[in-house]
Amino acid sequence: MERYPLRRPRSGRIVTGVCQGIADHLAVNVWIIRLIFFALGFVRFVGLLIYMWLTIAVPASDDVPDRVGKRFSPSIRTRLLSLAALALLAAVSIVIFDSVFTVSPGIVLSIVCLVAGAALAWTNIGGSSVRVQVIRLLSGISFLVIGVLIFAVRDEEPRTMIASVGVALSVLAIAVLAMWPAAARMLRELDAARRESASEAARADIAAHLHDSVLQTLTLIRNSSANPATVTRLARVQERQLRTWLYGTKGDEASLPEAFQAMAGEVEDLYGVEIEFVSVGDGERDEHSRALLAASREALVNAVRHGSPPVSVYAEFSHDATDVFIRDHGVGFDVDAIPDDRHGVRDSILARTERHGGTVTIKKRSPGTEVHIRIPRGQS
Amino acid sequence: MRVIIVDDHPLARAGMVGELTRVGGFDIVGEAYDVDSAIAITRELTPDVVLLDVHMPGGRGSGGAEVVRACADLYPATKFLAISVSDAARDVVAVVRAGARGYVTKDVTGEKLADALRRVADGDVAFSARLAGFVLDAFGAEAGDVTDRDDELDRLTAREQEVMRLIARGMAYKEVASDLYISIKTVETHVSAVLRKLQLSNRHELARWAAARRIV
Repeated sequence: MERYPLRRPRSGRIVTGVCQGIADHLAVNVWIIRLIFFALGFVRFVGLLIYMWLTIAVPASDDVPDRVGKRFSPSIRTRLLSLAALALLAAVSIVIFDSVFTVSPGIVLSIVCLVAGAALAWTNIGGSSVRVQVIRLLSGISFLVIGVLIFAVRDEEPRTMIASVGVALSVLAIAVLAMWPAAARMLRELDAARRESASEAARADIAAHLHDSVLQTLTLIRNSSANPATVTRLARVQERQLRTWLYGTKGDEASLPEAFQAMAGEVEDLYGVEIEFVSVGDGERDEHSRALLAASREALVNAVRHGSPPVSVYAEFSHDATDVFIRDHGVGFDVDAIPDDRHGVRDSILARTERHGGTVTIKKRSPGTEVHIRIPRGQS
Repeated sequence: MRVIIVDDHPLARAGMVGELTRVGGFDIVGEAYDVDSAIAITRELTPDVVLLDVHMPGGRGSGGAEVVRACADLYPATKFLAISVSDAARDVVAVVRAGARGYVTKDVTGEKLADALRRVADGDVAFSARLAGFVLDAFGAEAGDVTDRDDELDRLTAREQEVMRLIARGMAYKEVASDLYISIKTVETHVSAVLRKLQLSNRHELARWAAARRIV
């Protein structure tokens, strides 16, 4: 069985979830781990240091591994209380152990600097610019250096400490200044190389897409040149695909207008009749969207099969309703004259829309028919 | 009617010439294939309507919009009707704002094209359903009546919106007129007013909509 990766889970943590993470990773009871850390804490704070290092080094995670049973997940309040209790315990033990070994302020300061430096230098928040990362790295290194220096001179007088730290920082600063031009140039080259490879990738992407779609279709068209209907259909399909690819928005979640456009395209491909689609406004999908799409699709299929071109769809998305108009230029039909056993218009369009609080109006036009489906938003 | 056809695709030009010849009533006095030759031949022959492709090489790179702008002083003797494969908002709005009196897409039939040309020649606007859709999108489909003179250019009046909506639904002017119980002339007036707003409005809604789509 694969070992669950080492993470600091959000659920089940008391302080930062290190113990819980180790417990998940090694598949042992979390309280055993906590006990071990607790005991190690007394051995010259080794436990505490390891805990802090793991907090920095191990990424947090929202996942919960499958095989875990019910977790002990304390509330925020319990967690804060236990944190306070631990702090109290730490303070008490410092006082007790003060007689055994001295904990000078120097050591504390040094440890704080080391931890801060490590945190800055080793954690990385992905996505920040190169400049920000460089600043974080440099300040992290500075803190680490300061921490080590303070530890080295912890027994000296404060003035000597400050002087030593000052000297070391100056050395560090001069080193950084000397390296800066070279480092800046390397960063620029890195950036340029990254940009170039990104544009290369984009170009390759475009070439691949064009090859797959447009070239193929053109070949098919050439081969079917004797059959004008096929040629028109192929051209239309390819045209729509290319349009969507060029002008459509990227993203997996199709917005409602895009879903409508895709639906119109499907019907167009299925029946080989051109459909003009115009949409105004934008809107997110809500609980009525699926019914609206289905009802519109049904009306559109009717228009294509029983009506005559040109067939057009006009969809208006506003924040209080969605209106869809489906128009064809055929002979038209009489709603009341539909026999009871033909379910299409009645159930699929009318009933569905009304179930979602909407209305369907079928208007006879000369020539043709216009079906107007309207579903307000935010109604149940 | 004297017409010049401008398109950088020889096949497309031939197609348009063929269709207009078939429908009849048009005298194709010239053809051009890029921005500079289009400007030159338009100024030389001053036709009634120039059928102009949006994407063309030459000039300073703005294609059809550049030709319209360069010949703007010839209005109203010479008017422009834009035609294109693309129906992207960017292209449509740009060429209309430059001064074109209408927009049709290349999959239009010969009859529709002839109708659009006649409309433009008569001084009206050839508004396709898609252009109406863009206008509604750009000006915001929800608006009330305009009361403030300052905002006149920024928004459509309720009536203008209704007309745009009906056109977007695929109705011809005649149907729009009968639906709203007004005359066809009134419909044409509203449509012209909308075109003027589209061309002149620089503020608020339109600017923001255009900026969001990176249209000049």
